[in-house]
Amino acid sequence: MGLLQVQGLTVQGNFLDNGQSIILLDNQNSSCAGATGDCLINTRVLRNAFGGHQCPASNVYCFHIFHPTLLYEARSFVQTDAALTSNPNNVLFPTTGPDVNRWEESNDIATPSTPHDGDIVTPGT
Amino acid sequence: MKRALIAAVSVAAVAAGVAGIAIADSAGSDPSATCDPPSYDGTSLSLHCTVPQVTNTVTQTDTATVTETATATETVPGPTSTVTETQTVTVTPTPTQPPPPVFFAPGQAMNATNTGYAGDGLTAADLTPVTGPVTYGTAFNGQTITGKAYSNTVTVTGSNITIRDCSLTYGGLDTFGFRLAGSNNRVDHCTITSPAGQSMYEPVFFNPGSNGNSATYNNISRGAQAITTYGVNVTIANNYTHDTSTASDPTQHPDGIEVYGGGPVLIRDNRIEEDNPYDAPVNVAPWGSYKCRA
Repeated sequence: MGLLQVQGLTVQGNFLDNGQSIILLDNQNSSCAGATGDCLINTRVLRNAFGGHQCPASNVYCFHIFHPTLLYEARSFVQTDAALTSNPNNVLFPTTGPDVNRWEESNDIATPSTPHDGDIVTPGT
Repeated sequence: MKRALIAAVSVAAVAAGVAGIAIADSAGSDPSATCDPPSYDGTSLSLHCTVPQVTNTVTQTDTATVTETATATETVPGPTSTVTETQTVTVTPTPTQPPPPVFFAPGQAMNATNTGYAGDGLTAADLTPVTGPVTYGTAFNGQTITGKAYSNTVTVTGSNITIRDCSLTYGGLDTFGFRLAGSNNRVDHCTITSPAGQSMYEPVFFNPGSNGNSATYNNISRGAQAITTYGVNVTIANNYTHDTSTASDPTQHPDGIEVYGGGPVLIRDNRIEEDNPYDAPVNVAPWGSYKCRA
């Protein structure tokens, strides 16, 4: 079962929409629990378009619209490859520079208090 | 064309006793004329001269210029003539097309027209039905298999096998579409879905231990998830996944792409519309044991 770790994942150039949250990061391998066990390493999220149409209902299973990430462990989102190299358990998700992720195709749900098309995605927990 | 001119001659009276006489014409003196000596009978003076006939030859050249807007060059024998031809060409302007949309991410451009067999210009009528489950083992190594309409699970255990321009329509509890178990295999431009009222558990599944496999330009719908991978060196690119479904198993938690093990995995330029309010377009969850049940 040694393969049941994720050793390098690049999510780049996609359009991603719907669900509870766009990217779910959740290490469920109990043999290397948490954010330090090297079971989920070298993850990069670059230049994707996020749709923002996440579950809008008012129940415990819905995190509402414009929900970019759901992080079950105490990982950090970092800005550079160097920062990822220094701790591969982190997640490269830049919010500055050419590889940022942006909200797109979401004008139908945008309000003055929400992101709009072209806005940079800031990952959350 | 040549034209002869004859000189006119005028004779001037010369007084008697004049030994010579000058002959003149409108063009001036003619030294070739000869005259007899004049005679005078007391009443009139007579003079007889002989003037050789003069023939002047004039060569006339008519020059012409031809101007044509056409590209052909015409050579006309004989005198050159000038023809100027003006040709008016009416060009009907092409209707203005709206500019293609500008996408931030390439995956935004993927849709039902540029993925699946339709993305290669085929229709369902172009495909050959295949009944029952199929396994492509080592006997198929290096082959490209095209134009099939599968109706059950397709398992690939060989290597360097490409399955292209196909459909796979299958559904029910714990059902698989493509199971990629070998190495360097590829599923490309296939339309993968379930019959109405059903869903598929795993439309495209990269087995643990598989290496270098890829899924590209597929149109995947009605799966409990679209793609799940435990493989290494996996490429998932330019697919259109949409309309996840749990019709055959309401206990499922649908995702777009599940990354449950292996790596490196490249998920690039896909359009992943989960069309479901639960779980995630990309679910990265290393699992303690095989999550799949089949």
